This record gives sequence, structure tokens and C-alpha cells, in this order.
Amino acid sequence: MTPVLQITDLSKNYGRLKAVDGLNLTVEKGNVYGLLGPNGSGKTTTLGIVLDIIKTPTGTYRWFGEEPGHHSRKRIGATLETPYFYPYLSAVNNLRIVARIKEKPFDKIDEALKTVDLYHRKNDKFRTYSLGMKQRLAIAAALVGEPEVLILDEPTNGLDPLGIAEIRNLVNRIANQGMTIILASHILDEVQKMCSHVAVLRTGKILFNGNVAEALNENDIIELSSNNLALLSNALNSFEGIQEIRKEGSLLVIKVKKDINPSDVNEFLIEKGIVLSHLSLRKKTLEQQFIEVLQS
Amino acid sequence: MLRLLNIEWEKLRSYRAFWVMVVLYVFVLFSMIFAVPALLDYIADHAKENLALKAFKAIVFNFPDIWQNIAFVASMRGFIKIFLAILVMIFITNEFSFLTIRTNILNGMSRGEFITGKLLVIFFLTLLSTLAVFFAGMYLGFTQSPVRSVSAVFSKMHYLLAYFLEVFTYLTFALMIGVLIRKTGFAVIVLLLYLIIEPIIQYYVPDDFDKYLPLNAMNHLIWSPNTSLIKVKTPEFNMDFQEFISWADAGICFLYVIIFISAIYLFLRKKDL
Ligand SMILES: Nc1ncnc2c1ncn2[C@@H]1O[C@H](COP(=O)(O)OP(=O)(O)OP(=O)(O)O)[C@@H](O)[C@H]1O
Ligand SMILES: [Mg+2]
Repeated sequence: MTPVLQITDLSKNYGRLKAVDGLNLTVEKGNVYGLLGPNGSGKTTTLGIVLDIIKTPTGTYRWFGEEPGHHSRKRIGATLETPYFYPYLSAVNNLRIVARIKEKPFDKIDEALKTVDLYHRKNDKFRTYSLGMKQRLAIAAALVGEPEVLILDEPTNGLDPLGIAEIRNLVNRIANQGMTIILASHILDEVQKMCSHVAVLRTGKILFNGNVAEALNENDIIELSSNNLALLSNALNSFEGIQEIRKEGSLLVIKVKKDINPSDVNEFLIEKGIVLSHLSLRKKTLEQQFIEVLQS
Repeated sequence: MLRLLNIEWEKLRSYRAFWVMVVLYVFVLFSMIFAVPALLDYIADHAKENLALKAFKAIVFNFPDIWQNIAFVASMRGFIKIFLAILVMIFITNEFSFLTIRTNILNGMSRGEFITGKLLVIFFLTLLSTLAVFFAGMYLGFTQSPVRSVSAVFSKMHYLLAYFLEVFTYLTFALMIGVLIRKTGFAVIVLLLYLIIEPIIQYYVPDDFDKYLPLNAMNHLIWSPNTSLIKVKTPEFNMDFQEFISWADAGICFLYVIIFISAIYLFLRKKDL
């Protein structure tokens, strides 16, 4: 199937600064893709390019397999950074413009406003909204016209705790209906709670890219080695706490069940008379990557 | 087209400041045009040699010359069409200062569509202005002109077309300045300054080139009023008056419209928003 979004070798320079640097990314239908990275890592720039707001990148991108063009954007609901609407118009009238642009009927506007809990303020001018309300309106605008993909750039930015929880629930709800979502965030927890896939960015490059469940496996991964790998492998097969065994070069990599730690494994193997030459715990990849990113 | 017009309509429909300006513009335009006969009466009543003025008043509003005369008054450089130009500047620079152009584009407009939408608004503003001049002409003509034959009423109405072209060219010029400068106040200042800048440029370019400067080109479309009396030449009174609209002048205006629109497009095409 054609991917919803395919980005190939995308770069964008601002003078000598490489805001996006040779980025490759494929988002399949139904993915909830998190773009995770610290401030200034190129998340907004990447989204800006694929939404045609930022010009003169190198590399290519394809929405729904189509050449870049404004018609594909009508099938996308997007927020980018700060919300920008006509301050002298009410929420409803602002959303009517969005619906007109997307060539969609007006009858979903009220529903979108209810979804983000702005319905009771729908006739108030955008100018009179608080930051969080503006952010909510941006999400409502993205929902107008039943898009096939939702792009949310820091959707919980400026929201109160209740608002954050609501938006997370909303995203999860929409995701459960099978919509493709791309979400940029610098909050690990947010990505972990909402996304199926994640790309970790730093200085415009992707450091890690993959499945969140895999990357953030709740179960630990342990590396082992000994003089006789076959013997070790045999012994491990009879160990209760193991979910998966894999060979990686001279190492055996095992995924263990919850609450099993390396000392449990070691104890078991000692009883079996096997001496290990290597034993170590592999950290959760996403967290590891992300902390590395934040520390540098 | 209809979609783009609908979009612009949604933007302006409940924009109070915009409509206040439009009403104000029509009001000022009407009072200019309607003030002329009263003003002439007033001057005539207070002048000693009032015969000439009385005669003048008796003929400026005659069909068909009235079309040329009021189109000339309404389109004068630096005069009330500036009102419309400022209106254009406000609605285009708003899109940049509120960054709503960005929202438009990411929701699925192309940059070309965005510009087309604005040109449609300009088209309708120009139409509104032309209709206002048309109705003013009809009213003044039927109340003041002794000649009211159908052929006389309609024969010089192409001056309204020229008026339309002149205003449309000017508003496209304003749109271009608005897009290039983006800041409302600064754009308006540049528009007004250009009224002074162009004569300065004119001073430095060869005389043959004068009429190709944008404001000159626009103004040359309807460059003088005309009446039957004015054709009379005496040694003291020997001036030329415009007898027809030149296709060359219209062509230059068309060319300017194309240049302004291309400049806007080329500027926006590669622009980060
Ligand atoms: N218009 C611009 N001119 C110059 N540099 C820019 C411009 N826009 C972005 N940058 C730079 O590009 C880099 C990436 O910025 P970007 O906004 O994409 O980061 P981000 O990942 O969205 O960050 P945040 O989490 O703060 O939103 C930054 O170093 C930024 O300074
Ligand atoms: Mg950002």
C-alpha cells in the first residue's frame, strides 16, 4: 500500500544552520507517529516543509503517493506551532473559512468545536481567546472536514493539566478509529502515551526510528555470553521467565518477563553449572536515545 | 473561482472595520461628485464675472461628456481612490501580520489561489467604485443635462471602462506593495510616498519615458475632462483636451497589471510563511 507520507533525503538549511539534515521517514496508514526531539531539533521545520509553508528544501516528500501540491493538503488536518486565525472573527467563522478552503460542508464545525470543548464560546471572537483556547481551536480546525491524516505540532502546548489529559484522550480516541496521526513533541511521556511509532530527532537528523512498543518495551532485555553458546541457549530454553531468545553475534539477547532481573537469570544459570563471560542489561532504547539527545 | 470568492467573502463578511471603510469611501466619492454642482453655483454666485462659470456648469454635466468628466474627477491621482488602495493594503497586510496566510496555505490553498482570491476582491471593489460613479453620473446627468437622448447618455460610457481599468491597475499596485512590505502602516506610507517619488523619478528619466511610469500611465488613461465648449480655441485659451481613450494607454495599464501580479507571484512562490 502507498504510505500516507514518504519523506526522502529531506534537508533545509538556514544559512549555515542545517535545520533538517537528510531526513528519511515513512508513515503508513494507521500509524500514530511521534516526532520526538528537543527544542530546535527540526520538528516544526520538517512539518512546515511537508505542508508547503517552508520552501526551498532539498529532497522529496509524497503525500498519499502524490506529487506535492495543495490538493493533498485538503486531505490533511494540521496545526503548526502557534495557531493563527482572524482575530476579528468568531471561532465558527474562522472554521467556516477552513471548511471552504478544504471544500468541506459546514455541518461538522459544531462537532469539531464540541470535541475540543469550545462550543459554548463558538461565537466569541478569536481575539478574546486564551492561549489554551486558541490551541484548542487549532485542533478543531484540523478536525474540520474529516481529514485522513492529522498533524499536531506540540498540541498540548499552553494547555492546563485537564486540557492536556483531554487532548491526549482525544488523540487516543481518534487513533483508535484508525486515523493516521503525526505528532511533534519534546515530551517523551506524551509520545509514549499516544504514539505507535516514534522518530527521535536531534539537529535535524533522525537518531532512532521505529515502533514505540518495541523501543519502550516494558520488559527488559538482557545480553548474555559464555564459552559455549549452544549450551547456554539450551539451558535458557528451560527458564520460565523468558519471552524471546535471539542471537546477536557472540551474544544471546533475551527478552524477559516483568520483574525478572539479570541476577535471577544468573542464579538460574549457576544452578545449571553455566558460567557467564558477559551479562548486562540493555536499557529501554527510546529512553536511552532520548536522554542521550537531551544531555548533548 | 467561486470557491475563492466564497473564502474571501467569509473573511470580510463580518469584518466591521472593512465595511466602515467601504461605506466611508462611497460616501466621500458621492459627496465629491455631488459637491461639484453646488460648488460651482456657490463660486458663480460670489464671483463678479460669473457668466463663464455659469456656462461651464451648464455643460460639464451634459450627456455624454459627463462620463468623461466625472470619471476624470473620481480617478485623480492622490485623490479618493487612495481610500480604496488603503483598504486593499489593510486586507492584504492583515494576512501577513495575523499570519493567517499560513493557516490558509496549510489548510489546502495554493499560493496562486491565495493571490487570485485577493484579485477577485480587488475586482469587486473596483466594480463597486465604477457602479458608484455610474449612478452618480446617471443622477447628475438626468437632473442637469438638457440632452437626454439614449445615444447621448450611452455614447461616452466607455470612459467608465477606462475608469475601471485605471482603478483596477492602481489597486493591483497597492496589493503588490502590501505583499512586498507586509506591515500595514509602512505599506501605506510607501503608497503615499510614491506619489512624491514618481515625479522625482520622472525628473531623472528621459522625457519620452515619462508616460510609462506607473502612475502616469494610469492617469493618462483619462487625462482631462472635456466639454463641447472647451473645443473652442482662442489665443488666451488654447489647450488640448482628451477626445478619445488611446488603446496604447489601455495596453500599458494591462501590462502593468500583469507585471504587478507576476511580481506578487514570484515573491510569494519561494517565500517561507
Ligand atoms: N526562519 C528561520 N530562520 C533561521 N533559522 C530557523 C528558522 N526557523 C527555524 N530555524 C532554526 O531551525 C532549527 C529547527 O527549528 P524548528 O522550529 O524546526 O525546531 P523544533 O524541533 O520545532 O523545536 P521546538 O520544540 O522548539 O518547537 C532551529 O535551530 C531554529 O533556530
Ligand atoms: Mg516546533
